[in-house]
Order: sequence, then structure tokens, then C-alpha cells
Amino acid sequence: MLLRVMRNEWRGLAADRTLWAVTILLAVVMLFAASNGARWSALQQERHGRLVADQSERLEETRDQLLEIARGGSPRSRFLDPRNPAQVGQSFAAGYALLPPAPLAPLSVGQSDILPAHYKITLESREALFAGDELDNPTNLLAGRFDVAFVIVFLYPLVILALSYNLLSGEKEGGTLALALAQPISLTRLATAKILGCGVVVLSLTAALTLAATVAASVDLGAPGAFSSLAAYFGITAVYGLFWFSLALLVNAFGRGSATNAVILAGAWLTLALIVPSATSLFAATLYPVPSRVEMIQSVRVAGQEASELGSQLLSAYFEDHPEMAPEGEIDPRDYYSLKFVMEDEISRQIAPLTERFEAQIRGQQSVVEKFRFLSPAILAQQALNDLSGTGYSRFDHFRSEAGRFADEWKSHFLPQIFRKTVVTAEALGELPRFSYRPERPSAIAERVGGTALLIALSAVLLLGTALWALRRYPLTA
Amino acid sequence: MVVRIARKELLEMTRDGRFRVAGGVVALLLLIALGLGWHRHSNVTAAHEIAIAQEREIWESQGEKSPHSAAHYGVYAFKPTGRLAFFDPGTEAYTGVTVWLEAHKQNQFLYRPALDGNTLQRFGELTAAAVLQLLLPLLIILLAFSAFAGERESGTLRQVLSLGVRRSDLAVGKALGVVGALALLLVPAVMLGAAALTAARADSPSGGLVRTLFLAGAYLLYLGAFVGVTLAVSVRARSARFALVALLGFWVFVCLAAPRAATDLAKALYPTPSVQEFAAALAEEKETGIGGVDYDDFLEARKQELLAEYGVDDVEALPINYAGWRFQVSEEYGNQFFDRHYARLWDQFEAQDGFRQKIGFAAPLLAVRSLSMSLAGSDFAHFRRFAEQAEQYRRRLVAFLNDDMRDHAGAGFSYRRDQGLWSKAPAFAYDAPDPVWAVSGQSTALAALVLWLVLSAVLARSAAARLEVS
Amino acid sequence: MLEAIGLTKLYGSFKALDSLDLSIEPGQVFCLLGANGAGKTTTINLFLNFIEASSGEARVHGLQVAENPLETKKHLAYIPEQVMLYRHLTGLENLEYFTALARHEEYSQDQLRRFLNEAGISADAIDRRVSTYSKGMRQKVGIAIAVAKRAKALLLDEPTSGLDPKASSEFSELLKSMSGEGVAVLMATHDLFRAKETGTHVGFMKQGRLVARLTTAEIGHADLEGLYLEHMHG
Repeated sequence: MLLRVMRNEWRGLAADRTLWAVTILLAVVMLFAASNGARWSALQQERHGRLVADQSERLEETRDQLLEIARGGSPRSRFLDPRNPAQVGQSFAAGYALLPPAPLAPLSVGQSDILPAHYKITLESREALFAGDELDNPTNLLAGRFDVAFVIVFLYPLVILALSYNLLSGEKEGGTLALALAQPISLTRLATAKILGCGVVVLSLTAALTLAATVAASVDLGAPGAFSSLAAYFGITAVYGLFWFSLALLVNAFGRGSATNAVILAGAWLTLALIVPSATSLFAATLYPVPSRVEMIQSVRVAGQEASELGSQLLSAYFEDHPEMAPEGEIDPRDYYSLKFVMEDEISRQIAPLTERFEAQIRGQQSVVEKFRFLSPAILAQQALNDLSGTGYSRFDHFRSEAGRFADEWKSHFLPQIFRKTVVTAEALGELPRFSYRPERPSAIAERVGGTALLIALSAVLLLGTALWALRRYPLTA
Repeated sequence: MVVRIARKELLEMTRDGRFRVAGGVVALLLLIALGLGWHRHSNVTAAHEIAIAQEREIWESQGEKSPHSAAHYGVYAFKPTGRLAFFDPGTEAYTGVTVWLEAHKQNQFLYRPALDGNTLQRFGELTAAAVLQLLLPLLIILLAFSAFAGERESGTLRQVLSLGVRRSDLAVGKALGVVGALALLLVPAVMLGAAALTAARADSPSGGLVRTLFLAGAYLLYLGAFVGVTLAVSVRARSARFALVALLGFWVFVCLAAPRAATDLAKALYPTPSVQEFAAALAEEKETGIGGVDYDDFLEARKQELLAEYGVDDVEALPINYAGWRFQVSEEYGNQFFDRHYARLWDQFEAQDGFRQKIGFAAPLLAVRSLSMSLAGSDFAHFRRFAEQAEQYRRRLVAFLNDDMRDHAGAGFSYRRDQGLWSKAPAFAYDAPDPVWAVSGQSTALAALVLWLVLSAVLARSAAARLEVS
Repeated sequence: MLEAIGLTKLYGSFKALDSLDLSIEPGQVFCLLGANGAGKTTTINLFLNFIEASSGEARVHGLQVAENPLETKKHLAYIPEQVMLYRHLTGLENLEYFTALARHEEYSQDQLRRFLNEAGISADAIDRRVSTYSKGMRQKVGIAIAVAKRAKALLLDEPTSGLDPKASSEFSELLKSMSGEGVAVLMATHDLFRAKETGTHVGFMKQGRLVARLTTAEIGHADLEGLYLEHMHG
């Protein structure tokens, strides 16, 4: 019986021009989005490749120089000496921390346009290493990208609503509802079957188009985790779609006319997809205002001034705290590099409470977002899709801490050499620390995405339940 | 007659629960956005003023050192935020707030506020400008989609026209009705905004009042175009339902899809380098020099000029501090590359923004957004102007310090100065542009908006003239 | 077959239907006459369980409608004033869908065509989309649905209003043949002539109450109109 009604629904959909128009439109936007994602992703990969090449080239050149010097030559530049460990750590051998793109990266740009996927690791302080932003026209960042996730989070619900806003009201206005219900079938079953019929079509269409987009964006489905991520991508799409179908059914259950339903649903979409996220963001920012960075800069300046006044005192204090770093024999209080790094260390220590305040406020904002994200399925879907594409905030956050770990390793490799004025040799270049990205535990991502999916599913089921309950009071007569 | 029709439309709308709810929500959001925008803006401005004063104090109290070391110590310039940014913060969240001005180097701006916020910012910010750009068009659609289609369905159109009402009168009257309803909503918000601006003496620095008037004009064009399009569709649509769905589709294209699509197209058409590529290209060119003239050649040529000028054969014989002179030469050598590379990068950004203005002919939102940000002083062009002025200031400051060193012969590298010199160093004052400068780059956007208004009005009128009764 | 016992429907204090007692046996055609708003459509909606009774009960084939909403509908067929069909589907596809909803999946395409044919839809019209159908044709599809369903009771809500006399008379013929096969018919109508022609019984409704009932055999057509006016004004 369900199948019967579903088949009738399909016939109706197939005969109506709306579905064809929607299919063509969705196919066009999906392919456009896929090509955008593919272009962005390829560009990122190409850039990574160039950075890796740049680093190995630089290392090769430094090695040649060192060998040349060992054979009695002199450094090629007056200012730069590859035997000086500070200069090696700072420029000759400076390495990159690279975040490898996840297999599904072309499907969602996420935060990857604003958060760097690579850091140049030198001996600077962490603040300095991470302060630089990726270059982009701010107007581009403001508008955001047209990627597959955008199509799914924003346009796909509209397709669903366009096909289902008059699910019952249309039949009521057309007069067929009364005739159908004069048959031994309950309204609940009829409505369920209709929504299933419509849902199967839209979902399989979207899944097919997403798959096409995945192929068009030349995603490597053989990569580890790619297949399960894509399956989860479809899963999120399915529950997210269920949410909007349930909403359409609920609004239909009130028994209003089609035009009114359309207005209510458009309003609901606007509220859930645009207003709630930006209002939540505003609310979080008001609740946890992040102090002005201007203030931070001032503190760094003041701390820097104090540190330079202390100067050589700092150096001896540092070696008292870190005796393992101390050079043998006399400490040279005027040694430029030793002073520089010790001062930087002191500045970082001085401004640590302020940095912590920044981070606490940002964490505070993010916790508000986490607390209220269930208010909007669009937030949930966007988060989950970004997570699956490896372009979500948490992955970049994790990468930053990985890069920070590497920066520490880098520093602790060079600092003793700097203080002891060790001479760098060609062999020593082979023993430099290398960055290897330790990805987040897959189970952590799975938990996050699973939790999000569960939240969407819960709200969908809640809506569906309410809708079915409300259907019992559906006004069949005018 | 027209006024009668407009009054009836207005009366109907104010009695319609849909309008009351939707209008109330939009008005409330507008007030919240204005209030919080003002609050945020005052905080940023206050922090900015303190920072400028503090920075100068830090500069002057940096103690005894060589002027070139002082140039390395540098100063920070802080990007000011325009008075009207409370209404439209535009790109402010995505541009760095400060730049370090130091010897030898033109740095990138640091600390985009967006990175100090939460991830939801990417959904779009709730600003007064966003309410006007996105929500008011929706409200217009809601108010007017059934203007003709609905009356046709309910049969009242038949009766109205049987009374001998001119069709064009009907169209104009209905348009006025919508405008009247919008005015009901907007007037309180506009008055509040104007009062806040007056309280903040908006007119003083950069023509705030003129900018406000221009802004109002831009939004009137934009919203007027939406009224026209909505009425035209309502006349032509087979049913009110169809009119609504078609108009919502139009809104989704204009307000949601087009801005993002424009970003991807702009990036594809006018590619920009990554921060590492930019730095690498700059460093490489600096290494090889322009036209084969590298630093050594550059220095040598300048040295010969200098020696000739003083009629001596050796730098030791010069009556100036040669080290100080050479610092300035290296500065001037480097500046050529900053000029070339930053100009190339920023021209590319401006080309992207120019492309976006052109898309305004297809999606008026992009045109009004461009104009609005520009008038609020929060677009990329304003950022670039500030960045360029800050860079010019950096060069003046560094030259001032290097020249002081140059003019003190005999002291060599160990030459040291103190607060006496630091306090004489020029201070940075940003010359905010006037409103004419702001709109001068916006002719395409303006043309797009005017075209949209005119076309939609013509469309609505001609459609109304051929209005079908059933 | 159709039975109302003290059936009452209140909207606030307004009595749309006031303690209706009615019983229609197989083969009977009961015509409800009365002004607009007299309670005719309300009665039909109550038999269909489209609205809930305030008190009393409606029974179909001995089963209470409110308690067996789906079971009772197996015996019912309904033809509204305007039989509305899925415009994008053909007459045949519409019939196929509705009979399937009525849980009669057993018919072959040929049988379905025959139902439509017998209801008076020409062979070439069967495969056309119903958006091209006239009102009379759509009413005939309604009859075909009722026949295919093998309904034991038929509820008609002004089925012939707006039909041309030929279509109207064909419709009456179909009704007669159905009642001849033992179907109980309840028809709300304004058409006194048709009521006399096809009905076995008539009832006059006024302000929610059934004020009189007669068998058509007892009265001539002229008398019916007189009686009607008398009751309506009285």
C-alpha cells in the first residue's frame, strides 16, 4: 500500500515540471560546486608540493655550501653563514609543517580558506609563527565559497521544501485528498507514504549528484577512510533531508493553504539556516568578548622593552633555570642570538596570561556555539560535513597544536647548539627534526560526526512525531 | 486614485498577521543589529584611540639606541574603523587590524578579528546592512507576491477593473502601498541610526552625513528594484503560489547563490598567490634585482653618485656617516619590490571586487553590498588606502631615522640617540577619504543598481498594462 | 447499510446537524434535500469520518464509523460535487491508483478499462490526462471508482450540479443500475427532478434537522416541489 502511494507520488512528480527543473538546477549547481572545490583543492595540493620542493632544494643548497666551506671555501653571503645554528634554524633549513588534505577536501572548503594549512617553522616564538594569516581578498572571505557543502546545507533544503510545501495542502486544494481518504487508508499512512515517495526521489537524486560531484572533483575513493567518510557524508545528507521533510510535513499538518505553507517554510528556512547561526555567533561574541588584539600588541611591546632592559641578566637567569642548555665556560652577555631567543622566551612568559585570556574567550565563544548548535540543523550539518572533509575548525586546531609541537622540537634542537655556538656540518643537516602530521584519532572524528548526526536525527524524529500527532487533528473539510 | 489604492494596500498589510509577525521580526533584528553594532564599534574605536596614544608613548620611551635600531624596533599602525562601520562592518572581520612598520620590510597586516571569533561567523554576520540587504527584500516579496496574483485568484481584481480603474494606477498604488509599509518599519530604525550618528558627530572626519545620504540612496535603489520585480512577477504569475515560489527562487539566486558563486569565479579569473608564494616571489626578485640590477649593483651606482657629489674617492673621506646613508639605500632598494609586489597583489584583489560589481548586473545584491561597504568605509579599497598610507609613513619614519644617522658623521655604527630624537619623529595620521573618493570606484555597482530599478519599474508597468483578469 | 442514530454535530453553539436518525437499506436511494447550510454535507462528512460527531453515531454495514474509520471505508464510495483527480495522470492511472488505495489490487488493465467504459468514458479518453476531461467525465470516473471498489454504500454530494442534462441523465442511469445491484445510496442534492427520478426516498433538511421523509412512490413531481417549498418556509 505504501509503495502504491509512493509510486503515485513519483508519477505525479515525474509529470510535474518542477522535479525536472529542480533536477537540472541541482545538477548544474552541484557540478559547479564540485569544480570549485576541485580547483581549490588542487591549488592547495600544488602549493604543498611546491613548499616541500622548496625546502628540500634549500637543504640541498645548504649542504653544498657546507661541503664547500669544509673544503676551504667561504660562505656565499656576507650576512648568512650556514655554519651558524641560529641562522640554519631560522632560515637555511626552516621547515614546513603541512596539513595533508583529507580525501574529501574538495567537497567542502570549510575553514580552509581562512586557516592556514601550512606554517613555516623557524626559531621565532609561537605567537610570531602563528600570527601570519593566509592571503586572500577579505571580500572573498566575507562572501564564502560555492562548494558542495554549501549546496547541501543551504540549497538542498530549499529543493526539499519546494517539492513538499504543498504535500497535503496541494491535494486538499486540488480536491483529490477527500477522494483518497474516502478509501480505507488513514491520513497518517497516506502522508507518510507521500513523504517517503518524495524523499526517496530527492535523496537518491542528491546522493547521485554528490557522487557525480565526488567523481568530477577527482576525489580518490581508494584513499584510507575516503569511502567511509563518503558514506557518512551521505548519511548526514539523509538525516538532514529527513529534518526538512519532517518540517514540511509538520507545517502541512496545520492544514493551512499552500501559499501560507510556503511562506511559513521559507521563514523557517531563513530562521534556521541564516538567522539562528548569525544570532548565536553574535550572542557568543557578546557573552565572551575577545579583547582587542591591539591590547595584546601593546603588552608584547611593553614586555619586550622590559626584557631588553634586563638584557644580560635574563641570560644568566635563563641558564640558571635551564642548566642543560648552558654553554661550557663563560657566558657571553652580548651574544646576539642567545640574547634574542632568551628575550623571546621571556616575552612569551610575560604575555602568557594575556594569550590565555584570548584563548579562554575564544573557547568560551566556541562553547556557546557547541551548546546552542542544536538550535539549527544547518549549523550541525555544516559542522559534520566540514569534519568529514577535514576542513572543520577542530582539525585545523589540532594541526596548529601539532605544528606547535614541531616548533618546540625544532627550537629545542637548535637552542643548545646556539648557546654552545656549535658549528653546523653537512652531516648535521641530515639529523634535523622532521614534521610528520599525527592525525586526530579517527574515532574522535567519528564520535563528533556521529554525535552531530544523532542531534539532527533527534530533532528530525521529534518534528516527525509532532507532525504525525498533529495530523490526527487535520481539518479535512474547509 | 493611486493614493486610495496605496492606502487600501497598506491597511490590508497592517491587518495581515503575516506582515505583523514578519515585519516585527525584521524590525527587531534591525534594532538589535544596530544596537550591538554600535556597541562593538564604540569598543573598537575606544581601544584604537588608546592604542595609538600608547604606541607613541612606547615609541618615545624606547631608550637609548642607534636610530637604525629604533627603525628595527618600529611602530605599529592600527587600522581605524569608519563611523558608519557600525552599520556595515563589511570586510572588517577579515582584514588584519594592525601592521608592524619596521626597517627594510613591508609587513602583512595581522590579526583578522574573524580568527578571534567563533566558527559560526562564516554563516554571515547579523549586521544592520545584512538585514537591509537580505531580509528586507524577503519582506517585500512577502508583502507583494500576491498583490495581483492573489486578487486575481480571489476574484476581486475582476471587480476592481470593472469599476474602470486604470491598470497602471493599480500598479503604482500597490507599489506605494509596499513602500509605505516598509517605511513604517524603517523610519524608527533610520531615526535611531541618525540620532546615534549625530551624537557621535559623524560629520566631522570623513563626510559622515554625505556618506549616510549616499547609503540611503543606494538602499532605496536596491529595495525599489525588488518592489518592481515582485510586482512584475505578481502580474505575470498564473497563481499567487507560483509567484511566491518564483520570487523566493529569485531571492535565493540573488542573495545566497550569486555572492558565493562570484567568489569562486573571481578567484578563478584573478588568481592570487598564497602567503608563502608571495613572500618567496618577493624574496627571489629582491635577490636577482630588477633588470639584472641587484643590490650590489644598485649600491655601487648610488655610491658612485655620492662620491661624485662630494668630490671624494673613498667613503672614508665622506663628511657624512656612511653607515646611515647605506641603510637608507638598502631601504630604497627594497621598496621597489614592495611597491611592485603589493601593487600586483592588491590590484588583483581589486580586480576581483570589480568583477563582483559587474555581477551586480545579474544579482543586485552584489552591487548594493559593494556600494554599502564602500560608503561605510569598510571595503577593501579603504583598507588598501590605509595600508598604502601606513607604508608611506613607514618609509618617512625610517628615512627620518637613517638620515639622522647619516648626518652625524664619524660616529659609525655606535652612534646612539635617545628620546630627544624619538619624539621628533613624524607621527602617523591617516587621511580618511571623502565620500566622493569612496564612490568613485563604484560606478559599475551604481550603474547596475540604477539599471535594476529602471528595468524593474518598466517591467512592472508594462506587465500591469497587459494585466489579465483571469 | 447506512445508519445514523441521534447524529449531532455542533460548531460551538451552532447546530450543524441535530439528532439525525436515518437508515438506508441496500437498494434504496435516499435523497437529502434542503437549502445550503441545512446539514446535508455535514451528514456525508460524518459518514466519511472527515469530521467528528458531537454526539450520536453513524454506522456503515453495522459498524460504527468513528471507531472503525478504515474498515467502514471499505464499504463506502464517495462522489463529491467536483470529482477532483490527479491532473497529470490519465483517467486509467487515476482509477488504478484509487482502486489500489481501496485495496483492490486484483484488477487487470483490461478490467479497469471496462469499468471506465461502462461508466461512459470513451476508449480514446481513457488514456488521456484528466486535465483535459470535462466535469461530466470526471464524475463518471468517480462512478467507475465506486463500481470498481464494489462499494455497498454510495455517498453523493450534489454530484450532478453543473452537469448538462444529457450528462446528468447518464449519471442517473448509472446510479439506478448500481442501486439495482443492491447498493445503498445517500445523495445530497438540490435537483428535485433528479431526486424524484432516481430516488426511492427523499428527506427534507432544515437548520440541521430532518424535518420530513417520504418515499418517492408516494408523490408526483409537482407535489414534491410544493412539499419542499412548504417545508422550507414553514
